[in-house]
Amino acid sequence: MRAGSTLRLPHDVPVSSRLVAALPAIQRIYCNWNVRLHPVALDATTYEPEGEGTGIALFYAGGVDSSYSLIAHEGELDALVTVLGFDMHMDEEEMAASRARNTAFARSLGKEILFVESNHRGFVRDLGVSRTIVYGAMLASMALLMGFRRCYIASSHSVGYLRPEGSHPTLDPLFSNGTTSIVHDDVTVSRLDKTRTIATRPDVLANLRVCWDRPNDNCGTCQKCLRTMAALRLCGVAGPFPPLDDLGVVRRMASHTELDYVVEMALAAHRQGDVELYRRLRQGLRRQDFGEALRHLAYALTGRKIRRPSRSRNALELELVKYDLRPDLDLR
Amino acid sequence: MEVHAVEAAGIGEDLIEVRARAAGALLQVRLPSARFNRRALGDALVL
Repeated sequence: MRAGSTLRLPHDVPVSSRLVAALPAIQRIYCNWNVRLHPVALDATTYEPEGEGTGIALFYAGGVDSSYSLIAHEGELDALVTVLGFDMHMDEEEMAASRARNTAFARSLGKEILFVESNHRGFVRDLGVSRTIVYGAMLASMALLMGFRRCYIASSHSVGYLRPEGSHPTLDPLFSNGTTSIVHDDVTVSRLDKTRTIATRPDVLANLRVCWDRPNDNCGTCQKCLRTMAALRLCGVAGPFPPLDDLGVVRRMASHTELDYVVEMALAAHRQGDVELYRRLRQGLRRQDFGEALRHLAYALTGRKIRRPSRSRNALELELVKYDLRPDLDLR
Repeated sequence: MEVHAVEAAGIGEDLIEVRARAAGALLQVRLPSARFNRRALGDALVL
């Protein structure tokens, strides 16, 4: 869709007629999210799906979203699927540790665990596409390759804060192929409510891994660790994290964390009388507001011509295709 | 864009590796061979 050219598959590799029928809608969604994308034709043979697949699975990364979905669907799940290195690079040692930890955890629940490895992050980057806009399709493709009857992808954002994202409730079900149904899990549950549910399950809580820096434990200093630690504080548990002694770090976290997470934690902190946490979260929100105001002012003054200085990774990221609801409309 | 060199080959006893090349980039996915649904290969490549 970036190049706008026809996608041609070898004719001995057919595509499900059900998936082919969904492709126009899938492409309309992507084009809606980024005007630089173009609908493409598919040149491939098709097959008719024959019956449902076997087993019900959940993509389990050990974070808040998939840990909640695990608890919510525990009774019906046959298997957990862990994609090693999906969110970050993992070396062999880290993969081995992740396999061992998650296998023991799945066994304790009486579930099968399946590990998948893929170079998809580099693959889509080489094609000039950000994984943020395609990661749901990546997960779905793995589920289809394993022929489950149903496979859950945990939701990230609750209904009031849905935004264009690679995994989305309007998009994920369209990836179903007639054998496997892809389900974007419940968007009515907020992040804090998910955390509250996890806090009631010591076994799931003990395996909670959210860190951006370390795949097998939680550093306690990255934004994702800090936002989870703040939420767990509101739940009255610490979980597998270092103590949150210095609430000064919460302000910085809150100034860079998605609005929905910060707002609901601030409301809960106020309700629960956690004055210090409430104050820090509010300070972070004000910083966010200030940053947004400056960003929009810069757009208004420059016509969105401002770009960050080309600092390696940021510069590369800017060039990748991702969602963009406010494209540059300087059409002269 | 043409997807070609699509292969699914066993690695050891338990794993299968799917490889496909498109626009010069190589996609590799390793998954448990016991769960591999060859029929969905085209579906996965489209996604």
